[in-house]
Amino acid sequence: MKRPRLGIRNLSCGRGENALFQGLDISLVGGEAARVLGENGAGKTTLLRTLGGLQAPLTGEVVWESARDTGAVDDPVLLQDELCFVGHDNALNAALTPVENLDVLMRLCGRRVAPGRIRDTLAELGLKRLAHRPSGRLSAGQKRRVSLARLWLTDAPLWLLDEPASALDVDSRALLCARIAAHVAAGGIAVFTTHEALTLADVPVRSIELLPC
Amino acid sequence: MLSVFWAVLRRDLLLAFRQRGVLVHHLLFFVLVVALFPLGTGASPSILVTVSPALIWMSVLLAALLSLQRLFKPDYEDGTLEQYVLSPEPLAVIALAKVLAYWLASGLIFVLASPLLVLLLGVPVGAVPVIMASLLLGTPTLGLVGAIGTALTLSLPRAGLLLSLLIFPLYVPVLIFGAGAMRAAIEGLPAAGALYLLAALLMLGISTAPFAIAAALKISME
Repeated sequence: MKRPRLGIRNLSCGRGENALFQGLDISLVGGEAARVLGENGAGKTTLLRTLGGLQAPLTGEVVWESARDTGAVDDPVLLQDELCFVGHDNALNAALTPVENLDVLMRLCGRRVAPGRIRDTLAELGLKRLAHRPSGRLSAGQKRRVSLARLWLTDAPLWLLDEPASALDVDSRALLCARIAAHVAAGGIAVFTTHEALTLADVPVRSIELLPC
Repeated sequence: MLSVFWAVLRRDLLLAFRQRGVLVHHLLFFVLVVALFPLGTGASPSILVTVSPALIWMSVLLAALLSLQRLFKPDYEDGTLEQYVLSPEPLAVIALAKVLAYWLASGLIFVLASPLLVLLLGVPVGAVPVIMASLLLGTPTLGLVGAIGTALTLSLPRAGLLLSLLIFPLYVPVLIFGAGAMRAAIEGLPAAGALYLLAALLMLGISTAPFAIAAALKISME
């Protein structure tokens, strides 16, 4: 089977005239993870948002080659069809329960998941008793775990994760690492930013270093 | 595409139901403005009937302005809006679902409450169907146009004033034809012309506003 590829060519991102970083070139193929490195304000979140198509790059381009068809395309909609984006914010509405929130989030990516499977996944992540409580009453770490549950429900090959391990306890972090490693080992691509060390066993992790310009 | 439309519509209606206190607020605001007005004018029935079209429509506009500010704000703050924009489905479809849910939970309630209020103002019973029809055709347009304004001002800290400056001029046609239909009905004249124009405005809104809302949301996300 053809492997997907995420190509980043001469990418500069920032706001207005001010570039946060310039001339980023890297190509990731299925089976590789990449950790984005850089100090606070170096543009790590901006890079992930640009890769996902939430914001336009100043120069350069992001090319997504799907495993499903031939030819490279720089149309963000095709990339978004195969994307799971876990942003800095959890995307959970405080008045909806974790099950309801996840149901809508999965449908937004065009994937319908049975409520039973959502409940099972939440149970796997130690949230069984909280599955039907308003999300607003969960702790920061619990909310993060609910938001990350999308990674267990999605079949998207490209993952963009912004500080996925923030507020997580040691056990959840180990679960997360194992999940990312399994995804990459199965031929997926994961790009993540993190301050805590995330150890992915047995998969190549490349570094994308963002230098201020 | 339809699946996302229903999912978002269902989610927002569920939210409106869970947070029904907010709905009651907006309805109370609408009722209070209309109920307090006669205390200022004196209770001469002829004056009240004459000003009732303007009064009803102005309170609907103000209540819409009040409620519209929360249309996209919670999604913007908790990161759900990011997921809307990232969805492979068209953002305009999601925007239309959100506006429809918003209208069902606010505009429609104003429409249903209006007969009681206009009768309180002394409007003849025969005019009530036309008044309800004018609100039924006019309030969704207010939601669609207002949503463009809220989407544009989403990332600004104190957007309330700017929002009113942006959208009140755009509300003028709805105000003119909505109040015009009401006035004609009260005076026993045919109101069909004004109602047709309200319907035309609504069609124009449904077919163009979702794309404008989607574009405005993308700008606010950058």
